[in-house]
Amino acid sequence: MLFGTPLFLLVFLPITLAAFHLGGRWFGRGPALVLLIGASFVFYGWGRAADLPLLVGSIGANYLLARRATERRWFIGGVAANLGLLGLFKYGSFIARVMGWPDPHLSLPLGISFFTFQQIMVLAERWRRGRLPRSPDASFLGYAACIAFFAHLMAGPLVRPSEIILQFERSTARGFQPDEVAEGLMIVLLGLAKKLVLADGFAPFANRGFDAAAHGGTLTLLEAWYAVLAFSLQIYFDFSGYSDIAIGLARMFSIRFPLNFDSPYKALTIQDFWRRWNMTLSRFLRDFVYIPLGGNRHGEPRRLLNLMLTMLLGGLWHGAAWRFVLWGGLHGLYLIIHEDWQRRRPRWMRLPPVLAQGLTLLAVLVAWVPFRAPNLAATLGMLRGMAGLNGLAIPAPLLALAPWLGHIVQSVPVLPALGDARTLSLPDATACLLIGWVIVLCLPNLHEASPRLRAWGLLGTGGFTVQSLLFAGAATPFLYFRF
Amino acid sequence: MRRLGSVLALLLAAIGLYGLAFACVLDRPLSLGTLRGAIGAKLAYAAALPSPKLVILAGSNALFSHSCAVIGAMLRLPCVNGGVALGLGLDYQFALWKPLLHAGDIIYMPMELQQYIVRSGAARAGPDAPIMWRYDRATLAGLGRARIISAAFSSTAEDAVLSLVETAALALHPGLAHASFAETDTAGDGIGHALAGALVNRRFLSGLHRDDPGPAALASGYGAAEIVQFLDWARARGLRVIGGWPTEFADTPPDPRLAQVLAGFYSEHGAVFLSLPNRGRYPRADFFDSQDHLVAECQARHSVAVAYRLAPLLGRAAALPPAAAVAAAARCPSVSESPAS
Repeated sequence: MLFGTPLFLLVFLPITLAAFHLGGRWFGRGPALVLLIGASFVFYGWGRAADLPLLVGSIGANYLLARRATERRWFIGGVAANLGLLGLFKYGSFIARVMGWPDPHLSLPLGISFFTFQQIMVLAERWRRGRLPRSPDASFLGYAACIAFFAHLMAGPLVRPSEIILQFERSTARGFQPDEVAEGLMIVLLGLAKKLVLADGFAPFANRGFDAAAHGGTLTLLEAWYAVLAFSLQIYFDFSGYSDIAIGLARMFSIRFPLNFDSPYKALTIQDFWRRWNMTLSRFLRDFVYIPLGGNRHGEPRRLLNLMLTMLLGGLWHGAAWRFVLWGGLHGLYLIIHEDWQRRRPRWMRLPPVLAQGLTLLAVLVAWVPFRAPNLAATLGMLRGMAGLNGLAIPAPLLALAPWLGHIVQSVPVLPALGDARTLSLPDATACLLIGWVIVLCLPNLHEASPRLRAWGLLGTGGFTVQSLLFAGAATPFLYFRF
Repeated sequence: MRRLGSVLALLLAAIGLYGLAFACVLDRPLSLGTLRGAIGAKLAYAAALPSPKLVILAGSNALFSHSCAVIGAMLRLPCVNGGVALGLGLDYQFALWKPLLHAGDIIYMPMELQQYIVRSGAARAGPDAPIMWRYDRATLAGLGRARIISAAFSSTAEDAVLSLVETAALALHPGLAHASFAETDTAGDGIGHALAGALVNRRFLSGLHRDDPGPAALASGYGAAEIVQFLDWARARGLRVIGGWPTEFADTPPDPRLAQVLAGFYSEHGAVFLSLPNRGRYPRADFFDSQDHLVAECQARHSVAVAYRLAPLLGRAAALPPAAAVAAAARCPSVSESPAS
């Protein structure tokens, strides 16, 4: 089931919310959690019930493992089993292809990365602390609710068990909290606006350009840059919108999830970017890849190698494709350059914040190209366009309004890789991108915004959200559901 | 509970604001304004024609691939080219044309195949929806409650941005208004898509591809149901409807069953279907900027071919094509078929 559908918002959510709070009030904690877990299984299995046994089995097996994970062999065995299962589904076909084996034809179960990582976190917490958080230690229901809770089951945020299991207990005890529901609903509505209005609105601009590159089209400067700028906004609004919806939904159940995005495009350094983008996954990669690899404990060269390996694995986590490895490698390289610059630069030499932010953003934008492009040829085609090697072109009617541009600009009937390929696609895309980037770079994010600004945000976007939700045809899944 | 109530009230206010903004403030004077102007001009011209008259009705395939100047002259019938745009709702177009159609009138419908299979959601979200919501609520009211609600929620955030862009562009350059009228003549034919002008579109055209809908889907689509309603209405009022092939690239040959399905579809509802040896398929070199738009020279050539085949269906002798049309048709890059065949 998708968050941005009438079925979820108008049927599933109200029923589950009412059942959870009323169940908690009338029957106590256990039945309320059973209802929530049951609803989460319905949410997960809706439309793809075949994946449900894997989720249920994974939760059951990991619960048993977690009880023994204070012992080293059980902990290591548990982590290996989880990673093995994830690897089998995620990389089975890729490895078989590389090795020349028959393709196992395994379809990737929804959310497997997230619920696997979530359970590795439980095992690790158990191993490190020697116990699960206080009372739910022996409670299967608390554990299952922590993992299966529909608000973060598909794509995070990844939460430490200690951050959430106790909250379920308190939540059932506190009962229905109208202010929490109101706060959660506001965040959900604004998150939906990010996804349905902004992300899905920028998607066609990005798709048109990247599809053209994928089909060997020659993109001119504006077409290439507009596609990349649009995709950068699409993926940001898509995933931060998803995270806001998850946070808002959890809040409606009186559960507090950690922040997952903190205006990443405002980052002044690439390191800062990774502290702000998909924060819970970054934290997971730090805790479970970078530090176990040795972190910064074995000298500078090893530290840089660990950084690169972490980013390569982070890239590969997005999918079994070289383009994701390239994306991760680029970010690894950026981080290494940043570290080296920090070490070597004289104390007095510091980039002005605007320049630092611009440089960081440029690096991130360039890295999105291999991430989005379907293959290396399309990546190179897009980069050629961005570098201006295919020239700069403008639709003839627009060029006629500024004939002095004729010396540097080629006149064309339309820009085929931009928007609807109409004359007005250029000013339309320009205005849309300008609005998107102003929102991203100049406004406070949803969690920094004052109640008044949030109210204005809802007033301005609510109608468009309802329009997209009920009248725009089939819902588009969140991009991160694929990973 | 008060806070929860205020969030819900805010959401309702947002919906109201959205509906009001698109009903009274936001407008797209260049894109929708041009469409509105084109439709109004064609209807006004049709209203002045005596019956029996010929009306060519489809999307922009009628507009740019068919010519009343040629077909009307060869059949000796007053003719209006009613084609505007592919995405325009069929129910809206039929609602506008019905009051102008009288017994004995002939409607030639070379409908784009996509018109037959359009889904109800897409059909209700075409450019006609915001036009009616802003300017033609009387027609909208006659199309039913579902259509009213769809029209009220037909505009996206991008449309809002476009309305600002178009309004600003028009304020800065008033000459942009209805610029596309220069591309139609008084009978509503699309003009000006000359072969010479098509050369710059070659690269763009080479990348275009559109799959035909399957024959089964075609006859059972939502658009097909709307066409059926119109055919039944026309039959009851003594109008003659003739379905036809739209134009398409020859490198996308139609399913062999398609001709039979289309002929059956029209004949079941008292109409006929005009068969064409090439089924409206021409080489890409014959097109201007899309599958629906032949270059003017090939528009003349195709119209001559259509007129020659329409004549026996109407029990009329076809006159010779106008000399200008013959001269133009001779310059059409396609040599696959003689216009007189």
